Amino acid sequence: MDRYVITSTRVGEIGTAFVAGPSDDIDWLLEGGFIQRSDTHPSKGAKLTNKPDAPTSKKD
Amino acid sequence: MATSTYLSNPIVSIGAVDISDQCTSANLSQKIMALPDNAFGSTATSFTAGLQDNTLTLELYWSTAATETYATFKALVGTKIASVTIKGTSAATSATNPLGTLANSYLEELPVVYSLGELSRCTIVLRGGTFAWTEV
Repeated sequence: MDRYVITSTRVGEIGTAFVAGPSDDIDWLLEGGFIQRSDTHPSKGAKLTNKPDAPTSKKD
Repeated sequence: MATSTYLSNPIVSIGAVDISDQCTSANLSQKIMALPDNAFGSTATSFTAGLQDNTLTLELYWSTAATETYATFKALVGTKIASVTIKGTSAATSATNPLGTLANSYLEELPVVYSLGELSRCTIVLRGGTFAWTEV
């Protein structure tokens, strides 16, 4: 899922995450320079709620 | 005396974009067409509600700077705009500060006027769509 950052005060506080509503046109907002895609990825230390590789049992 | 005076605070947003600081006038016409429903025996004209026929006219300063008027509307000409909202003040939406939402209105043209010695302006007309007031 793409994440976006606000780049214009017309949309909100610059630098904060843009949370799209159901009627928001993301392409239009990107083209107009109001938001941009965030290239920030979760840090390696970020905890996952469900760890996909975690063993389900400690017994092998 | 129950009057409301708005000196400078109306809020106009195109989707998530607040264009208020370029807007000098917002003229909303919430209209539902009147369909004659007279029949033989009628003694006066009578109407029933037809389709909504709403219009929102915005007068804007014409700025081609980043994220200003041009950037906001250039890609919307000839399209239906999902949501345009208008509110009397920036205060919370309430019964005395209702939020009007015009959904799926059509922007037919983006007419710009360049005049010597004046701030350039454009007047856009959003036609059609569904309008509703929200008080909460």
